[in-house]
Amino acid sequence: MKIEFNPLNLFGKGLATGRKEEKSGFEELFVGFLKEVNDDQLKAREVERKLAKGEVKNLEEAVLTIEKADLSLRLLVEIRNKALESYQEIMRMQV
Amino acid sequence: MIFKGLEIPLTGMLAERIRMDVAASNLANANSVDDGGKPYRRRIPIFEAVLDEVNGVKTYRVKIKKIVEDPSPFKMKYDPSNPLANSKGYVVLPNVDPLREMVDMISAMRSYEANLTAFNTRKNMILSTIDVLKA
Repeated sequence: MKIEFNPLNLFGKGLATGRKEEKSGFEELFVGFLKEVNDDQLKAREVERKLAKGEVKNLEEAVLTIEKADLSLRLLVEIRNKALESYQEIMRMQV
Repeated sequence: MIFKGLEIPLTGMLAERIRMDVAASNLANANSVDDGGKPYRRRIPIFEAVLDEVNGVKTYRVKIKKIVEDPSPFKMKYDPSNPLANSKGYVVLPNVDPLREMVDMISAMRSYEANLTAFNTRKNMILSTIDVLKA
């Protein structure tokens, strides 16, 4: 999982250009992250299936794969919560 | 890569598990003599540090380089009635000392636990960092 987050760049782009023309940095970042987390989940599911069938040769690797999926999902959920919170904060703003 | 810190204790666990298995195989074969009269030789795993550099930070994984045979002499036991005994009545037994294998197994188990603790500690570090986003 690679996280390259450049808030300054994101801010400048997001305000200057319209959202329709090109994807904002955050959206791109988030979708990419989402895909990777999904891949991790799929891998973990495969490992769990193998565990249940007794096909796992390396228990430590299996544990790591599941742990990875768990941690990245937690991070994703927190980022999503944070983003939603910011959105709601903006929506509550007095005009 | 945030999971690098989890992978290193993992390689330690793998290595210790193999050390445990080798000690168990030595212990199980403490009395093994095949039909050719050749006794089992004690096996010793050799560990190797493998450089794993990320962003200029040098960390080392552990890897089983090879499993070698212990060249120390075999034990001789006086047992003339044994069909494998030589002309002087001695039987050649493996150079395995069960007590030593037990100590090796204890050491392997403790090292495994230490690596497991390192893994858990690293995991908790990541978890509590993610918790910063809550609040």
